[in-house]
Amino acid sequence: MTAPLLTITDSNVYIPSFRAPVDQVIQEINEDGVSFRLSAADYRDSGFGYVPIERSESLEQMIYEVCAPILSRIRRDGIQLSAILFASVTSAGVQAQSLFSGLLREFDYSTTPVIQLEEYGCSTIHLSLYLTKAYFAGEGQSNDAVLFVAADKANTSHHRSDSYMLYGDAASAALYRKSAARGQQTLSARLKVDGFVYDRSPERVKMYFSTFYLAVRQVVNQVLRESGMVMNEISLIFCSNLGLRTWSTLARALGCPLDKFYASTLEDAGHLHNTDILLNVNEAVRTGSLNRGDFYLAVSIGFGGYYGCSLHKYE
Amino acid sequence: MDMDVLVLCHHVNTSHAEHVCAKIRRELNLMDVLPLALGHSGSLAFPHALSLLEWLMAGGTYRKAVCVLADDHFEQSSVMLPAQPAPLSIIEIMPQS
Repeated sequence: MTAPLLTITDSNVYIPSFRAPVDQVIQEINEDGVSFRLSAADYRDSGFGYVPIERSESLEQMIYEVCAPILSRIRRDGIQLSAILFASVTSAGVQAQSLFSGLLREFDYSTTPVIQLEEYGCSTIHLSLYLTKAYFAGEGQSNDAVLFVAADKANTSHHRSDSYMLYGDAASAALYRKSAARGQQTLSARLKVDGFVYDRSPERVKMYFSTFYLAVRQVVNQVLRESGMVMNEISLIFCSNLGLRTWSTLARALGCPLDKFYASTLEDAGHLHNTDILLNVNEAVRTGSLNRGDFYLAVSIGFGGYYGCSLHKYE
Repeated sequence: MDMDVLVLCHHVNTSHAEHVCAKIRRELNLMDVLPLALGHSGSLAFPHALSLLEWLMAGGTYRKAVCVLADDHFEQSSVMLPAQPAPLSIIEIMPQS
């Protein structure tokens, strides 16, 4: 087993307390002209029950909520914050630096760049792991850290749904360190980019839906192969919350049982873009589904052909 | 074209469903190239791109990048650049040997 590439030593997830039933949300977005492609019953059959909706806090406040505790701890420990890698899929058009300026000033990290990564959708978390892996393999020092932040808050029905999925509001943050005795060790991190869908051409969307599971299989097998591991040694798969129907397709492609996919947050939280994986891992740790010494895979799928897979060990 | 990374830096609001970097990559058949799109950071996007390229190039796997800086119009402020209707810069980046 190779040495960890990096370790996630701290993380935080914020989900609004208000949850709307999927039936209600689908009705509302249909009335706003979104034309959701599934019936509410079919969507519920995939395991979805509710959509978290933020009704009082701004995106900036949501980001503060998940980042402030982490920044407080690393400031106390004298850790250098080299960069913040930021993903906001639903809230397109937001200006990253302004969302973080107050927060960084408060914790004396005003010179830390906030880099907004786009186009990878729900796979931006794996892009952040891939980039940080390169950083720590090169110039990154043991006292450095990179913070990945995901924050999404829909302001319109067209942000709430792209007609295929419903998106909840949430924010999350994960601190990446070069090495640590405890945390979520990252042993491998790979990306596969097809980028089929760069606009809404029906032919390209159809191509994406008919091939995505093959791309997932390819990147997962690549990670397992280079780590010298097999699927039987993997305790759980934490995947983007795309629902049981999609996961069934992936499970068949990967040759593993569906119950290897961690599904406990599907009903209450649904799909939260890049927050899905951090939420699922934290919840699995909290409930005892994931224990120290367990190996697991994180798999993300960004709409249009962006795929990420990473192998982790919980220490 | 001998290139490992394609970077797109832009600022203004593009359509939520449009992936410009992916489109450039597909249209020019650069399927082995790693795409990076940095947006909504104004003039900070290019220095951020350079930081990320330093990270990627330090390991030796990535050796050449092309950075495209482009915006087709300024929706937010409704300000058109007087000099050109569609500002565009293309910069080739390689690590110091």
